[in-house]
Amino acid sequence: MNPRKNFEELLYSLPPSVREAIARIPCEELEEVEEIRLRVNKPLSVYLKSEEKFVSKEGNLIFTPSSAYIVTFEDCEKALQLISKSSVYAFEEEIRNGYITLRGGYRVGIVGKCVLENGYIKTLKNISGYNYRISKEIKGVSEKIIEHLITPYKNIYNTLIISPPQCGKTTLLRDITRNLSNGIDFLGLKGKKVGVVDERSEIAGCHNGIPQMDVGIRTDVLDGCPKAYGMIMLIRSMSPEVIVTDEIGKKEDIQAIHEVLNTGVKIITTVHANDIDDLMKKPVLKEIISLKYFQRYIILSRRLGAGTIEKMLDENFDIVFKGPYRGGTLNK
Amino acid sequence: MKLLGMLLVFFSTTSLGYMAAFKYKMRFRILKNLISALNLCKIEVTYSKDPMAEIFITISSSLDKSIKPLFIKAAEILLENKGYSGGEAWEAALKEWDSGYLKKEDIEILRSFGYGLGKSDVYSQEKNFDLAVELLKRQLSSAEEENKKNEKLYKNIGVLTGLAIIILFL
Repeated sequence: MNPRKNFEELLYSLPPSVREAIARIPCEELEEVEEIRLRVNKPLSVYLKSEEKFVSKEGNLIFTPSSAYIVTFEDCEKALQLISKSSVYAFEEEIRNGYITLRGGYRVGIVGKCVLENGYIKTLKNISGYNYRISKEIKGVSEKIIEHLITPYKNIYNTLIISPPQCGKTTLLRDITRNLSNGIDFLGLKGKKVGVVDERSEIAGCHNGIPQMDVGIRTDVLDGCPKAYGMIMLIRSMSPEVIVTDEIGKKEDIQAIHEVLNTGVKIITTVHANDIDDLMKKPVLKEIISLKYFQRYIILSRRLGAGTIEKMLDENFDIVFKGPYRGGTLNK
Repeated sequence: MKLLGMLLVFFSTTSLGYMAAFKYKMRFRILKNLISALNLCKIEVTYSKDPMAEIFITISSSLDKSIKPLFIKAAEILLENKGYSGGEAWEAALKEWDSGYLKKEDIEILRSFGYGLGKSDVYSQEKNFDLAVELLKRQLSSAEEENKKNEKLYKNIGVLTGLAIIILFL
């Protein structure tokens, strides 16, 4: 059996024939699987170690698609039923956004035919492709750098994590959240009340509102809420000391950040970019950088694998921590 | 000895009559309870939006014992995670639960209800529930008529046949 927690939840949401094939994959290889992909009438494939492999009926990982298991139309229909626990109505909002979070924090991305109403996506039908993403909870990735996020007066610096996609920014953000929420003994930091606005259910991986990832004991998660509203809502309702949110970039987000900072609440967030120069090209983000809202910038890359911390800068772009550094162990 | 025989005959024909009448009564009762159960389900689907299996478990506590096993079985099949869809679980539970009181048309309505179960958004689910309830209501009114007509009839037939046999033997 796979040592990953709640792995059965993932298996249960695969259609029976696919489930059989996946369950037969040898354990060592199954542990490395990052994605399982189902496409109607196409071979079943998995991604592991940044490489695509096809899966045969017997659970062998092969490079040639010809002898792979072919995903049928029925499999695709069944998959939606199983993912939603035969309750598609309960996941309307998620389906509209193109992904469903399973118990255990696994996320399934879906594509199909969009049904539009007044120009907005009403729902997806004839779902033809599934991407089961196996999230990794890596505890301790923030261990080495967290001390740089704390002010001499045991407060938190406003922090922006800058990272290209797939470089582990959400993992890092989650780990920082967990540490700040639980408190850090060796730094003498008491746990902070943390409010997480988890618009895409990625940080806490909520299923039915319950976080499936460890985000700490003093963390309140507002799941599936648009960031701009969520940040203000949290301040009014939960009196957080730190607000954590993912992937800012819209004009509303920046406005909300203005408001958050005016109330004295600290903020930790992420943005898609390669480095600071990249950010300066985006007008909305350029503003908050030149206003020096953030006192810490963490820049990530894949140099030593996903989650490599390249460097950490302060508000004047002076280096506080120099990488490359990659920490943490896979949580089993 | 003769008296005992007469009593036995009378008793058995009467109970046969009552059993025949009971069938009509049960159908009426099951249909009535199914309608209220489906209405309860509908409220849960549109309001709480819990998964189907959980809804079945929640409402089963307030259900009549004539239909409780159907909902519990369907929920159990779903919670086993063997890869059954909502419709398949419902169908299997229906097969196991059906004890012959319902007519073929009644079962057919329930089966086609199961086909759409949990497959779509709230709006369409509501429609699916409404349709099943509407059709079951029609069956209910015919069941009520039949029940009224036949309950007395079969009970009387039972008693009277008994008496007739006894008179013949006297």
